[in-house]
Amino acid sequence: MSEIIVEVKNLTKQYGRQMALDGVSFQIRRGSIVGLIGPNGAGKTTIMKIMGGLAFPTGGELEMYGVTDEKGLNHARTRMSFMIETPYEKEKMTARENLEKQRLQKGIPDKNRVDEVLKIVNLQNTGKKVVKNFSLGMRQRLGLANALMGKPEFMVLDEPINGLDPEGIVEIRELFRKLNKEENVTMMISSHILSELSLLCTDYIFINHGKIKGMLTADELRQACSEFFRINTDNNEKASAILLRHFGIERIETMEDGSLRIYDGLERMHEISKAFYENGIIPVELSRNEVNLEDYYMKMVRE
Amino acid sequence: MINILKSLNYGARREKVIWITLGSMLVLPFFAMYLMGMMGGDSLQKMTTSFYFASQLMGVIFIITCFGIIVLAGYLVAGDGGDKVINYEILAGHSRTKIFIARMLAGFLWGGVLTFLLMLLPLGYLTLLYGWGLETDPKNVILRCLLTFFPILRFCVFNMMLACIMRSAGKGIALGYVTFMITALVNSILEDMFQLNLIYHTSMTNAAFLLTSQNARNVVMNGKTVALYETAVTPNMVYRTIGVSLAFTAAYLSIAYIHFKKKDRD
Repeated sequence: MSEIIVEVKNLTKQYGRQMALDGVSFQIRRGSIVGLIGPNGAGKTTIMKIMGGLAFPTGGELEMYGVTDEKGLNHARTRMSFMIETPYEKEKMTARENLEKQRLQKGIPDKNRVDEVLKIVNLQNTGKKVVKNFSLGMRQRLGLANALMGKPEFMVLDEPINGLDPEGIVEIRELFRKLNKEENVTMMISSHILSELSLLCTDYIFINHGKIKGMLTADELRQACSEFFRINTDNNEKASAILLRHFGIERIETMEDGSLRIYDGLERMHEISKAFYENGIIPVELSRNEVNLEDYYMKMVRE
Repeated sequence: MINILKSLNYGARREKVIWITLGSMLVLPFFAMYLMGMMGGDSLQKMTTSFYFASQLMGVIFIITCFGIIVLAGYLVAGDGGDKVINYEILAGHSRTKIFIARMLAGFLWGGVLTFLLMLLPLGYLTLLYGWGLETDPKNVILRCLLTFFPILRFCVFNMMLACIMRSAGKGIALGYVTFMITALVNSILEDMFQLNLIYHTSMTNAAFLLTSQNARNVVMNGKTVALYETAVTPNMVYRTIGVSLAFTAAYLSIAYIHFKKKDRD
């Protein structure tokens, strides 16, 4: 088992009467890529802000690299990098100037590092163009360049692929993979593009209304994402009764659109469709599907 | 901390507003001198440092300096508050105390020390070009000017506190300007209404008191009648200027520090 580098215990954060985080606990292992998943206002950014020292928790404990005191946490942050919300940039400066400012602030002695990271994120040819004139994707790349400046061991990234074009998404995904595999960089990524997270993450944390709704590894998610049959007929109520009575299928989920999902008896679909026909039920849709991260997420946040 | 200072300095050198402010502070004394009739026409001979001080121009220049301080202090402390670039300093693992000290130091160096030197600049070039003159005692005038450093420090820290609390250079500058105008107005009304002597109550009145001279007597020197201005510096002036300024500075710094240290960043 890898070393635990972040441990959050019963973390709470209250803004006035609103509970942004309510007893959140989780761990992050070195070398993992953790997907932090939840709807807007779930508490994802609040967690990241507390980890980054921008916000103070109301209660609970944050341990990073084995320390919990303020001085120790600040030292731990020197090994990390953060991109929280929209990347913060000086609008009237160029990409190079923005990064040079951050290089000085972080005390990075290597002056070539700015050019290196600009090249990594493919912004080396922006010249004198100021950030004000950058597209959302370019800003996002600059934010990533900034996060890469100090060669971090652990990157905390809030919606890092937001605004990127499909080519850019693939590029950044490969970059994350490379950093993770070759340099063992740990990552915590929040994103609304769940399909992307499913291609990258080794662990998932589901959060909603400031509470952890579930935590599982990629393997566990794979197991949870079982196959199912989607059934839609002209009389789903009667179809549901037939499935239970004739075939003993108890796990029947009725979806929002009224269609049914069954996870058992998939090999008996031929018999099931025959039973529907014999009972005067007209099937509109009978399809074999798989639960993906998006379905799992929807299920988690609804609970 | 030194890294934060380097970074702030790098950012400040790339802010047009800062250069416009500094440029204005260099040019406006000439404009003021021109308006006061010290430049142009037959008045060139009068343009000694002594005459410059005696003409109450230092008081005018101080007001220009105040606007410079408001802008520079606001920009250095919270110029990156609106775009949240300041957050990177916290995220990089610098302690809030170190960030606060670095920002206050940067704000003070640009907004306090630099503006103070710019304010004194006319004294330097006028002396070099035309000499000191007869109207004032150079030692006293220099001491008065040096003492002005303390009200400037107080004023600078006050504006840094406003910018720090507002978390935005623009809002800090706007509030600083409004406060400056209201304070001057209220002070003047109170003095007139209640016949009060509010010299040390605000940095502006304190500095104005130091940089102007009300009493003059005419003497004949080398066959010419010269107005000699009273510029003597009393120990009371020194103690009270330094004491009150430092006390207010400490109070403003404490308020700004508590706010910066304890509050969440957006």
